[in-house]
Amino acid sequence: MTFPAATASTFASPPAFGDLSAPILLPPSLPQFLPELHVGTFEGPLDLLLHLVRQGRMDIFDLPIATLCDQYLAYLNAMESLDLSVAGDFLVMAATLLETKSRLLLPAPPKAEPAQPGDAAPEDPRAVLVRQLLDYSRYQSLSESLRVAENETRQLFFRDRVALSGEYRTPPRFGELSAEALLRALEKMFADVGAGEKQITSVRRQKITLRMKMREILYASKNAGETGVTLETLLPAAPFALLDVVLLFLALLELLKNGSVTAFQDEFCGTIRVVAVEREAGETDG
Amino acid sequence: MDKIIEALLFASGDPLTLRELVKATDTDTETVTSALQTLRNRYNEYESALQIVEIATGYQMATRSAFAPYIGKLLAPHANRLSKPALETVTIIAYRQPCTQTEMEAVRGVSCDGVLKTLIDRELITDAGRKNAPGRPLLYATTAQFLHYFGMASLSDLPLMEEDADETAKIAEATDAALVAAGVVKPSPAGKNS
Repeated sequence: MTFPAATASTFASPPAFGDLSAPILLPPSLPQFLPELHVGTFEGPLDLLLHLVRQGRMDIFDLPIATLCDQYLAYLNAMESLDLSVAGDFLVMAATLLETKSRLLLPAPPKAEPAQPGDAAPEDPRAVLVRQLLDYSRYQSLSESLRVAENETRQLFFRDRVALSGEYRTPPRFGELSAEALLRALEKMFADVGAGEKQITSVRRQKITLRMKMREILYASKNAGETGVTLETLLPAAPFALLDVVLLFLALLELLKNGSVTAFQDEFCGTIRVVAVEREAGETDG
Repeated sequence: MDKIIEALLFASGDPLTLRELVKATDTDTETVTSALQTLRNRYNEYESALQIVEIATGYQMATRSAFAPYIGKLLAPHANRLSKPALETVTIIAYRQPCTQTEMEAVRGVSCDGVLKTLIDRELITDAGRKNAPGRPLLYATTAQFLHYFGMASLSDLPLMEEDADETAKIAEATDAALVAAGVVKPSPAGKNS
């Protein structure tokens, strides 16, 4: 978007930023030059200020704050459709400029003693701003030389990482596996668990029932006698249906509840043994 | 030997460091360095379309820039160039790294949120721990991809900057000289405000 140069009519229109700035935005003498301005070409208040300083050929070490301030506010006023997130930064800078300007107008605080020749001069109110501007312009010019480097490098073309021909692979760093490799391993494990499940294409009543499982466990544990049967031997061999495992678990819980079997675990995370309880077989719901 | 290096560089694609080359060729640094030089000379002699560039702490084979227009016609264009804010921000990070978001915002005078995300997405910068300061802000530093993107062998290839960024006088001198050179401002005694 291009805005026309700010002219007297710009100032006559209601100020864009509220009453606070209204009286200041009517400087008695308008800045002489206000070229066409592409709003949005400035990356921030410092960028705009630097632009003004350069365009006006101002001495950066003796900034004419009043002129700079007027021009800055005039531009700000021209940018009527400022992005709100950016506008804040611009307004803060406007306030800083105004503060600096008013500080310059104030007489320096009187000194208790006559100034010694070696005394440090009181810091110019503009110093902070100048330092910031210089710092920024330094990085700006550095970034321009990086831009040159960028353009030069873009003229070069490199080969992509080669798709190696099966015989070799780029070795993983020692003691370090990529997240991808771990993910693949995990996927493989999941595939094993659900392998039986994947073949089910229509939902059908399963051949396995809770009672069948309960009978199976009871039978196995009775046969095993005193030491009982380990849970692992009861588990179906992979690939198994998830339902198989779930039913086994439910059946075991059911048997434990009605007291037909007891389960032991000798150590933390150790094998679980299922032992049949000596009593009448008729009592169980077999 | 230079042919071995040539083969290695061709096969790798990625930049190979001197150490990797030494390891693969089972020799020492001097042999590899001189072989690289021989290879470069050979490429120059025969006016090869290829060149060996020192980039991102390693060596890599690349086409010469003279052929860029033709390659550009063949291939889809690169990713976009960095925007001005992104370039400015990455410059600040490069010179001040590790550096917090607040620090770069103080220099630029604007928020750097979106720009940082772009730079991280393009793998030009990465977070480098946290600063031991209130709020423990994230620190950012440049990556090997940064070096590659700007065609630098190492961070010492960055355009020179005056040391001691905090000393106004020095900054003033540097910038003033730059500004005068660019014909932007008229010369003036530096350090007037310090």
